[in-house]
Amino acid sequence: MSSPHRWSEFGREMSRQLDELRAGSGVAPRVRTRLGVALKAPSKGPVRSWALIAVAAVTILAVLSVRPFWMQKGAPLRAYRGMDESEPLGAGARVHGEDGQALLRFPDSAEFLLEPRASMEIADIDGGTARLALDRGRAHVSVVPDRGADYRISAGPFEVQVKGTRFRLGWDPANDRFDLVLYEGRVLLSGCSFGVGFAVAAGQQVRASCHDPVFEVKPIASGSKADAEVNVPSTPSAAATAAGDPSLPPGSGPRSPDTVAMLPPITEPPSWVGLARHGHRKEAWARIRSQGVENAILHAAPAELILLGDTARGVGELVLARRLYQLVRSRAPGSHSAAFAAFALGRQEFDDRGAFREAAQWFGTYLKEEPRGDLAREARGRLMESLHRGGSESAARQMADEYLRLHPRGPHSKLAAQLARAQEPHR
Amino acid sequence: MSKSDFVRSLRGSAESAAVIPFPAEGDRALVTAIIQKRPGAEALLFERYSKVVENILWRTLGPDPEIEDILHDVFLAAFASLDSLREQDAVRGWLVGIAIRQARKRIRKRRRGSFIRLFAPSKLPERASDAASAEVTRALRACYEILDRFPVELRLVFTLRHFEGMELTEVAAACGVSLATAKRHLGRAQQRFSKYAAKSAALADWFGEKS
Repeated sequence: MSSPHRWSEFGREMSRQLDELRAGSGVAPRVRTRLGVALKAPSKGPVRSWALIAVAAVTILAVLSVRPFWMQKGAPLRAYRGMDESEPLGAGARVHGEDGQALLRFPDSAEFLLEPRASMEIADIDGGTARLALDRGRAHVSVVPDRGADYRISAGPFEVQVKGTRFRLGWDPANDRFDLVLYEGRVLLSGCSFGVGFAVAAGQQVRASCHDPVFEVKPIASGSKADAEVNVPSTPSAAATAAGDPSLPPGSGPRSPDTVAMLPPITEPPSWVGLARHGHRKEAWARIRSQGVENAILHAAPAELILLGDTARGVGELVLARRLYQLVRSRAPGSHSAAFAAFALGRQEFDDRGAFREAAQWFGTYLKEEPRGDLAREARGRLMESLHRGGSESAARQMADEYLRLHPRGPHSKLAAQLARAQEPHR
Repeated sequence: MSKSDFVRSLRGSAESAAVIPFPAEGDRALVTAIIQKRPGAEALLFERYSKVVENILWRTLGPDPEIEDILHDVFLAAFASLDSLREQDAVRGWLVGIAIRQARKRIRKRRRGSFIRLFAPSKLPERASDAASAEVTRALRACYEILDRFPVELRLVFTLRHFEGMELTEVAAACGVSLATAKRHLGRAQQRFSKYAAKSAALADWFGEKS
């Protein structure tokens, strides 16, 4: 890579990934507290302090009372089959991936993509908790963190507790095989060899059988024996097996690293990313199609979802592109990618639909979230143009003034100058 | 959303955009206020520049469990030595300089204890595994593993130029070297990075044969 443009593109991508990694880490507020520098001026008297506390308390209560409808007490958590929202599914409903994939979806953006021949039942939906049962097959699960809803998925005698995460879950009742590959977040496993709870971290895959008192944990995308490990839970049965209890069947003792290393390798992440990054849109799209669009979505990091959205948009899949950008905003709120997605949504409204008011809202959102971002100049220009073309002349003029002040030689400066010169209409 | 709400929300965005470029004319007064120990002045300095300093630390060090402590140290050092600041309009550059010195110190300290790998699984911040996908951490991990092999000055110039997006003149000033030296460091860093990255599967999208 020798071109300066490619270096800066690479640098931006790494920065974006760093920003995603640190999103919400809250380092600065903690340091501010440690330094003892309060952000407000010192209070001028006890009355004002109490008034501020009261206002803050009321505000907090008000904010806490405004919850999305799916989190409100008593409000049912609805489930839908695929993108069809005309028939919500209730407890007892079953979704099958017959010959192809099937999607079970919740309004908080939780998605359960069933592979062919997999079957899942909605065991119970109560307020903010959904209990699902994977009868057989594999499901790709994506649950957005901090949305309030809890998901508990049973797979035979095993149970997976989920808050916010992405993973693949498999259950083969005929052979008593449970497997889980965790891409993001953390889940808690229970039942059989896991006992009352075993936490799995991102980047690990787990295999278990209820028949065996041990389970296997291995890093994803690592075939080396050194990386493999065997977890022996401290349950009486495991201890007995480890000690060579003759009452247990042969081969049920702790597995050797050799056994663990025999696990089939986890499929490498999709390579459409490289194709798309190099501008091979059609080739990337063909690769995405071949592996399944929903599959690609479930495996994609927020920055890759934007790339996927751009690729979809490039091949004319506008509805999908819109869904992907919105998914980024729900999956990674407050991140650099979410701001990028807001810009992408604005661009789509502007270029593809000519919906200028909606475009203006999205560009405004981008600027609120990243007023100094890489796309700030373009967003200001587009916001101004959207306002102008959407008939909001006064706001457009205001934006034009700001644009000229901040980017006097920017690509929209000509339009900005025209708008700034325009007179207010006589009332 | 009513039209007035809509316009107000846009005004909000315009207002927030208007305060971005850290107006230099305010810094001199702010420094004076801090030296005079006026209430709230230190807080304003922190509010104004903590993001800038935090960005510099993240870009130069990568994910590091001690970033919080280092950010703390930067501002402690700044508050302690503010009265010696000669160009009171140049607070940003001065703070960036302190941040670079702290980052340099941290990299050298890590190197001295190089048997403790930065990216050993137990060292990855808890938040990292919650927020980012395995794909994100793998590419970043590869990137910073390569940078860990760099001499400190090359690493600083490379990360400030490409990850933080600074101009070379700014990089040179922040690192306390001449522009010619900064250019030379950057050239060597890019050459070295390309060489190592070409062998990394996680960076193949950027540095593989297709690139």
